[in-house]
Amino acid sequence: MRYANYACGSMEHRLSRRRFLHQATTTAAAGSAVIGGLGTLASGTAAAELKRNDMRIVIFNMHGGLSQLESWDPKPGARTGGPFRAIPTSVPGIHICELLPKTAQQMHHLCLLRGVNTAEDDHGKGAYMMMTGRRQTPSAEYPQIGAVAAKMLHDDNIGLPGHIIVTPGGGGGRGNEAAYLGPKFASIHLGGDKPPQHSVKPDGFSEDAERRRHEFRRRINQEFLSQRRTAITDAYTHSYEQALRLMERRDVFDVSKEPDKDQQRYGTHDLGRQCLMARRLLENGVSFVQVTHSNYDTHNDNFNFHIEQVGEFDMAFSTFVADLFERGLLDKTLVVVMSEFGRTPNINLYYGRDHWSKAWSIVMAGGKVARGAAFGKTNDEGTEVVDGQVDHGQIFHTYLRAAGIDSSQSLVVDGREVPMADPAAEPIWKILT
Amino acid sequence: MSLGVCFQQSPILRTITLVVLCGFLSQSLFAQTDGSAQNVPNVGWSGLSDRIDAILEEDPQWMMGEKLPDGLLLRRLSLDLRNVVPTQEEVDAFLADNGENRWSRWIERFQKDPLSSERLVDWYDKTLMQRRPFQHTDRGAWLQMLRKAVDDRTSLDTMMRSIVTSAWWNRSQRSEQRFFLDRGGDPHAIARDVGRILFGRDMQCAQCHDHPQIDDYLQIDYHGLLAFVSASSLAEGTTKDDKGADQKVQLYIERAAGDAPFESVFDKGIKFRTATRIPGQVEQLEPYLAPDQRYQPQPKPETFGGIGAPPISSRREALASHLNGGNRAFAENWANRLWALMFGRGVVHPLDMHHSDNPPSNPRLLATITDALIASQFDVSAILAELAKTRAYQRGHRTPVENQSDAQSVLNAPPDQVTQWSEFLKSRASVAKAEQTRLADLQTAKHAAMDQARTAWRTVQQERMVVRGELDAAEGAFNEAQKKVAEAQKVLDQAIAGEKATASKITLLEEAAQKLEQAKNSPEDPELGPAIAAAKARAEQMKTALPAQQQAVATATTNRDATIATREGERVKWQAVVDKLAPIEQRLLEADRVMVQARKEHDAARSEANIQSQRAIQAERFQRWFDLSSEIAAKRTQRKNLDQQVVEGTATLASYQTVVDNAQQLVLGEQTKLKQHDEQIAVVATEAAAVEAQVLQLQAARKALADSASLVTDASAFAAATAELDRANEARTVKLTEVKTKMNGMAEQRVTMVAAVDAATANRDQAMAKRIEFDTQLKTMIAQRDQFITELDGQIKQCDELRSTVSVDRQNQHAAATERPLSPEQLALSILRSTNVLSNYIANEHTELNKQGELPADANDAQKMEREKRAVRGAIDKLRGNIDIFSNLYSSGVGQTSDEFFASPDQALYFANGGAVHSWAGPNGSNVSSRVLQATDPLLGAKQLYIALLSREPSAIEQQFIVEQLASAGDSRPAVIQELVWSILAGAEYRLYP
Repeated sequence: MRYANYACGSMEHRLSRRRFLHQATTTAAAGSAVIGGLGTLASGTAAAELKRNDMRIVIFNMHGGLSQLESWDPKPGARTGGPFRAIPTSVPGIHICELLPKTAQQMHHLCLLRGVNTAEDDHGKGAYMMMTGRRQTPSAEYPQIGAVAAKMLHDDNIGLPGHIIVTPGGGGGRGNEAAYLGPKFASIHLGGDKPPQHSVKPDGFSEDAERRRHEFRRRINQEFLSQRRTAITDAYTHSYEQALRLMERRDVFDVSKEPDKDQQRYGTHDLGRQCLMARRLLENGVSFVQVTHSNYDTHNDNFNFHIEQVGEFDMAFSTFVADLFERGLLDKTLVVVMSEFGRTPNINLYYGRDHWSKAWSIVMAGGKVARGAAFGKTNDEGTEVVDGQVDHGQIFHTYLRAAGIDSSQSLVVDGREVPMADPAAEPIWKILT
Repeated sequence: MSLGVCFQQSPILRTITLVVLCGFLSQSLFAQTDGSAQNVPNVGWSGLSDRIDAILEEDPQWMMGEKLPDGLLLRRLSLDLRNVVPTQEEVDAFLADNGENRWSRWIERFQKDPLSSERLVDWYDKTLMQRRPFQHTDRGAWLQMLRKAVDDRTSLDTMMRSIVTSAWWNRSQRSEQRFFLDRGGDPHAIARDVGRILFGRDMQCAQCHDHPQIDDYLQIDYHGLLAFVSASSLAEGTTKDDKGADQKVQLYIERAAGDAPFESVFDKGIKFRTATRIPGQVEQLEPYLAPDQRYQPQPKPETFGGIGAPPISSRREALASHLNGGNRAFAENWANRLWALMFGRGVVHPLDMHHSDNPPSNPRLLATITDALIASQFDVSAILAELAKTRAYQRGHRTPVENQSDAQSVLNAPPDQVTQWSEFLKSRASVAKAEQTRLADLQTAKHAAMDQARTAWRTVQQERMVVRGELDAAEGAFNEAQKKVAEAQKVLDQAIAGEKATASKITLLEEAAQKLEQAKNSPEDPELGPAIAAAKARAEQMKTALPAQQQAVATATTNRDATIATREGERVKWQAVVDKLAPIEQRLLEADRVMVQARKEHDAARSEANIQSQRAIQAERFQRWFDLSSEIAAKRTQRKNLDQQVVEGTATLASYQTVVDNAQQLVLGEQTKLKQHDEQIAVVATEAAAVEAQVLQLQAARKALADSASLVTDASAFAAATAELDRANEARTVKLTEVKTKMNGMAEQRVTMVAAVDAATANRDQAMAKRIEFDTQLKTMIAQRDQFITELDGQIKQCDELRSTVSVDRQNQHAAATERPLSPEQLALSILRSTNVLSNYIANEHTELNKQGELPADANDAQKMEREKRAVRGAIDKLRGNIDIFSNLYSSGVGQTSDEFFASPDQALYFANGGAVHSWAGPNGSNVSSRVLQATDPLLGAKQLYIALLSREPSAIEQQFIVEQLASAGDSRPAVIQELVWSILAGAEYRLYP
């Protein structure tokens, strides 16, 4: 060591370096491997271990910035409180906004984080922080939670992508959230309830022809592979079989296969269908789904807007959580409701609320997250966090821990060792079980 | 002894002979100064290929692999030099070429192909921009710039310099500015990429502290690089669009540099500053210019609107002055990148991780290519041609010797020598370990020296920081004074303007009065007279104000001069601080030199220690694999024996069982007999009981008769009855005796029979016991065998792991070809070429060009080549959309050093269902599908298919398979051919380098 003055512990660095050398010489051909931040885990076995724990993550992205005051942290009667009341929930002592009556009945499954302070009021930068757990810098890109989940949790053999973003419209292609983890873990965008691109055989192609050409492909590969078989050839040939399996499982993406009753329960609006799709995907083993509810950027007419929008959310979300619980999936699924930031306690001239990242709320549920809890507290007017303050770095660690992933690990990518989450932050241990 | 005989029949034999001759333990194998490579003179860059092979083949451990078959070799060359696979015609021509210098001629031929220039354009583009999108620049213009550079054979270093120095005020350099503009002009992003792309060092992690994992990268190195670009940023300028309208445009401008202090987040409070610093060099001290002397006096003539003049001293110019052969890091970086271009892997890998913990796989190899690159004056094509000529480039994938017994047969050597091969590897490992230990000690010593030098440097640096603080203060005071000058000047300007305005008004009034005077009709003109008087009066009145104004000017001038004097006073003070700083910075430079030298020595020792450590690891691994595979081979035989024993044992057990079964049969027989006997006894007993009952009955009757004698009247009848009864009684008693006797006999018989049953049972139990005993033995045997198998399977798995690691080691040592996929662009272009889509587009381009003007009949080669180049480039530009789809699907995305291989279902979905690839695979014009369709002989069809698509002939099995498909296709022949072509394009072989 040149200068052993690293606050983060010189011994780790020593270990890491040695391992780096080892990695460089042993895993040169393979892509990336997982290694332990504390020097305990070794190579890919840790990842395999985790994959067996069968965890999933679903994120509700309340795009634009949900108002914490009209949802999780109401301040009725305060100067900043707005017109809505607070109502009791299934957990005595926890009250939330009256716009969420159904969700209130599921509170015993949820954990509110009311002390979020991310200190970033820009949409893009705030979203980046909440998705990656780090501040955006021009010289480094970090993978989003979905890509990390796909890498750490997804089982390639199920024939479905591991990282899916459901958007109300458009989409169909591959996203760009994986940074150094590589495009393999980038998202597949599903436009509304449409299946992924190119997942049907070409027009006018008979079943026979389809079967035949893939049989040809296998036969022709077989000869080559008997001479030269490596991790690369395995991955490549496997990708075609995965594609075929995805085509077979195309129904998974068809929400209309769900019973009418369920479609009614979730709501016939976009968000309802997206939540039902999310449930379908999670049940079928997809490790990460992101649902987007847009657009909460209510600089004008904040209250009327929240009545409409939060009402839609309340119906779909409460049904979703209750279903996951009933189906025994909640223990295996981390559910997060978040935005890029909250909204100002101050009500502006247009009855709107503006961007506010100093004291806002998110929700986590399921996985290893404590149930029926409210962590953190803001002052009477909601202008400051007075207890349990957390930031994006801690939140990102917590996502991972809650999904059974050791967030202190580093990933070795192309010979570089990159900590999976910001090494300067830690999980919020108090809300983890 | 020369070892440049790799492709002779038995290189292993040669190497092992050498090894044996050297007595195995000779340390000279490792000595840098010894060895045949040194005998090849190192002049210029010609002969580079021979030097490379000599270096690589010097080490016997790696057992250089055999040459790739010709067709595949051509495929590899074509991909590397032209980004496409060769056509069937090219493969046929190459195979038929028996002329002299065939390989060199084909290298030359491919390098002349317009596709080759496109390959270099693609390489420059990806290397410099790492797939960044076009935000502020134009793709067409960027490609045009790269094409021109490649056409002009602009040397690599010249190109890098022109990119780095590209000036914002120079419209003709706008494309070069893409390097900065499309990184958003951000200093950190650019500093990182200057480090990565120009010097092969990714120092991003050293931004906030010394690099946590890489000792060589210090925070001052990062900030030294940052200093080159920290004064540059994006700015908005205006230009005219095609229609002459104003258009906003982003420019990458440079301001006069000022270095901000930085500190380590781990060591807060201790601040540093650095001017520019090239990795591995001392800080570049610059003369300090007074704040008002830092910019050129005039803006550049071509300046875009709204931007001021450039600085006197440009740090980007300063950076450019290091981008040449004089800078080892720069030259090594490019040598390594060119090697990676041809070999799929750098001598240092990853390409931007040059540091002592990631040493080159072969330091002398890197040094040799670097020397040649410098000697060639950074001539990319010349170096690529030399690399292609090496034997290393032409190697196949296979490992010639897989285990000891293979070695035995390949080497045709007696077993004891084969054992010695393993010993040789062991000794290598131990020598390397010893060397590593020695170097580790050396490193520790160097480390202490380095620490000392660094502490000394830090001390002077802190002294400098103090004075730099004073300089900042002096500069602040100067700027303040300068501001005052500006303010005073403004007051003066106003005063002068006021005075001038008054003076000019007086002049005007007087002139007006004079002109009016001339214009008067009479001396007492009633109208003009008063006007003249008024004008004169006003002029006089204004003249009275003039002295005050003149006084104001004088005062303002005095004031202004005073501020100037103050400023000049500040300048003197500022200069005094600069002068005070000069000796400190000289000392700093001295300390820096010592520190840089100490770092260099430390890093060298560390790098060498790491190389030895790797050598030891690799030799050990090789030996373990070698031994383990031999052990496994032996154990496989042993396993067969054990299996045989179990089989035999099982048979023996079965025979034991038969004995048991037979004995059991006997038992059952005896038991049956006994049972039958007992049944007979029961019958007789019943009979006896009946007889006995009759006897008793008779006796009772006799007694009753006797008792009734007194009542008898007829004695004779009585006597007769009595006699009758007695007779009957007699007879029954006899019978009873008979039966009882029989019973007794039977009882005796039964005893014998019971004994027989017991004997049979005992016999059976004995047989059973024997069987059980043997069964236990057999079970133990089986358990032992299973245990053996489990252990063996474990060893086989371990051996497979070792095998693949050794295989990677061998690839890294260029003893075997690197496993690598085609780049996304290679895949797209190859498919387009294999299916004739590309050639059709090129033909269309020619048609278009001919419409614009036919090439003259007597056109020379250069003109024809030029025309061909335009057609090829036009075709590629038109196909860009298709190529981009592949780039998006198959590349690692923006900002990655290189495209890591990955396979995902969405790639396969596009390939299978996107429509394009399958339709290209259909018969069209004279493409391969059409040719196979027209081939009457299915055998010929199969061959065409494989040579056109995979550059090789099909194997017997493949041939048979294709022939069968073609023969049985019937009416769906075109469809089947299309599917076959698609399948080959979708196959693993097509996806990979040969």
